[in-house]
Amino acid sequence: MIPDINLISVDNKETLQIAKALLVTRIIAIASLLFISISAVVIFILNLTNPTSSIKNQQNSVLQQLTTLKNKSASVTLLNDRLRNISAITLKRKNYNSKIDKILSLTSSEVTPDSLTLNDNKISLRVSSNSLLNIGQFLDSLVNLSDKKEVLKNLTVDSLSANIGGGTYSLSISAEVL
Amino acid sequence: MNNKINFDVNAIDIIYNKYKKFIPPIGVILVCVFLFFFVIIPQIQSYLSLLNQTTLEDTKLVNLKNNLNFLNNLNESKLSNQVQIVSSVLPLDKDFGGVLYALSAVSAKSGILLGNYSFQVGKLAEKSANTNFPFLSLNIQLNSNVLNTVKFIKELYRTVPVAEITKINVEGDSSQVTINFYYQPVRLVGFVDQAVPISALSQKETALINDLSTWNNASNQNPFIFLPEASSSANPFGL
Repeated sequence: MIPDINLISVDNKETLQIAKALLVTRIIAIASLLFISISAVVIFILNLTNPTSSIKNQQNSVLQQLTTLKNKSASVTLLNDRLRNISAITLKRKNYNSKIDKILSLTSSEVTPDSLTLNDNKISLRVSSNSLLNIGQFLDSLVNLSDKKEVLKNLTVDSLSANIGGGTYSLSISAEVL
Repeated sequence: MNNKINFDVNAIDIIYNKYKKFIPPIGVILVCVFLFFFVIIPQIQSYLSLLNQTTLEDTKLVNLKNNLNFLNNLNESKLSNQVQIVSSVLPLDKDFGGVLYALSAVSAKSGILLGNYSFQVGKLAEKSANTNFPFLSLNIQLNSNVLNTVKFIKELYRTVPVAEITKINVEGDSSQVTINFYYQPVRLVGFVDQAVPISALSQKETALINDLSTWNNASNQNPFIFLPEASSSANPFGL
């Protein structure tokens, strides 16, 4: 018995390999074609069923109804705009009166404020009294207020004078308001 | 062994005959690859962007419907009243009349006689360095001492139009005060996007309106209060 008899010739082997490769190539080609075709159809259907145009139509309908309410809409916009701006102004504007109030609340009935100048956060105040003790108490209170750093940033005593004829004492201070 | 290959027309012909059946499927594959990269992928991208746009349009529609519902249920007289209040607090333009009414109201409430006053109209686009809002500046002289001037200022801070004191100078029974009265033109009138959601006033805003409604207003003042003549040579109403 001869074991190595090959009934398939070398040429036939090559032909079979080529046929196999051709089959694989054809399968790939058909699969690609199917994939592209199905993808194109799916995308077409998805685009066709997209609700954008329907939404746009609904928007136009609502917009038409809103046109009849344009005065109300403008009023609401104006109201919101004013409120936002008023809020900003009231927050940012300098509120000197509460600060002056705090300073003047330190004066007793015997201490009279004679002059006041306020400009760019700088305050100058002149007070007078017929008692030096009252002037001293007012000055102590001012120093305490300045130490707390709530109203005054700093405090300078400009002058302390006495009007011997009139029997009054005057104190002038200047400070920076916080 | 001869390794040389004779690559002539006959060889090409043999190779062509041997592999010619591969040409159509390979051609189809190449065309499919081309279609995938140059047609299908752009189509997918375009669809995704369309989906995005649909979501945006849908949100816009929801906003429009909400706005319609909100405006339909809005009390018109209450809204009109609120607009009137805020517009008198912050006028759209330089409100000379409103300012004079404010001064008369404050003068009456604080019991202080007004002296001369002068408007400083200033540049049209000038804004306050402090608040960054346009203003109308006014210098007034008061026949009042320190305590009464403070009373005047207190009252002025709760009077329309909204104002800010920038300078105070009191000497004895005479004082000079510089006041900035604010105004603000409306921006983008007529270009309001209807799809921007309109919401009801917040608690803070309602509280602000309630507070503003208690301010001294021209509409609730006695118009017979005497105002001295302006010292400025310029007629403020002539602008």
